[in-house]
Amino acid sequence: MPRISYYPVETLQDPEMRGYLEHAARYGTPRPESQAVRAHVPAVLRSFSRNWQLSFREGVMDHAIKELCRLYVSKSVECDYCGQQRSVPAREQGVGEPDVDELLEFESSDRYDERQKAALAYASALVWAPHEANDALWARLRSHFSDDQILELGYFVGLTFGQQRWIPTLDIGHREVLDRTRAGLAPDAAHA
Amino acid sequence: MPEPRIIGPDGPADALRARLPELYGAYAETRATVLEDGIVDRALKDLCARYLAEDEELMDFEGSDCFDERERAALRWTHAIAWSTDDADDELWDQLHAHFEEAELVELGYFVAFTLGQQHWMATLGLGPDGRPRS
Repeated sequence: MPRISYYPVETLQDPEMRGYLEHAARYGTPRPESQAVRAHVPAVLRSFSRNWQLSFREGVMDHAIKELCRLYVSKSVECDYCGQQRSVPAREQGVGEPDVDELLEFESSDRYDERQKAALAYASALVWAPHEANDALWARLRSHFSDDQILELGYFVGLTFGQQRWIPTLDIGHREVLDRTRAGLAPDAAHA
Repeated sequence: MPEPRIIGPDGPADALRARLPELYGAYAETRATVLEDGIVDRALKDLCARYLAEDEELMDFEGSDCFDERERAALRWTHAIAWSTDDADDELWDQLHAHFEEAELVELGYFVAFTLGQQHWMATLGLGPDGRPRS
């Protein structure tokens, strides 16, 4: 049982708010349950959805790298609800389950290229030791990314990190709201 | 004093956000409608933000008589979100539901989560919780 009830999303009248839930049901990341909690406060649902759209789905940084960072955060902070979701566009861009499996050992893995590793190192620093993001890390980032890409990546990782700390306190689960498709679910969650 | 890693026209965090105009628009709206306004009183949100920033006056809130039960419940949830999600147990949720409506809980939880993420991001940029260079 969720700690905060799911808003009865079928009763949403505002086309914009309904659109956010419809998108979640069709494509996932985010799936509808977390959006149904946010829907209690339209300003919150709008804030998250707009920030997510602009920093994750769109933007100047490669979406697939942002998806790897999102899943690194999921594994790192143990947000199972988020970790059981997969971005459909990132999957189409080549992010597969083996890429997810080795995220916590990304530095020693040969599955990731140096660009991906630099982004993941930044995500790790942001989550665990943000004050220790040192010159070496910044030099590493700047050898692969523009300042605007780094800013967007940091803003996005901060956004998903915060949400992935909040969501585990809510005890929400998959396929509890608008369960029409398995879109955006990891294989294990989709077949559960 | 560490130098900010990327310098915007005015130095602080907003100048950096403004380099990504559309995203800055979403942030500015969030600040106007959720961070600085909304259904939960601003003073309580500020208290939670200061706790996230590890303000020394607040870290021992459990042992202080300066806070009422509503503030304590909010600070306990803030602590759980930032450092110990397992602390969000039945007892804490009973306290939260005793003092807040569900919509207030959504706004407060989102505020804490969003602020936590922004504070961590700004710290990587050499900025403090107020968006100014760390002293």
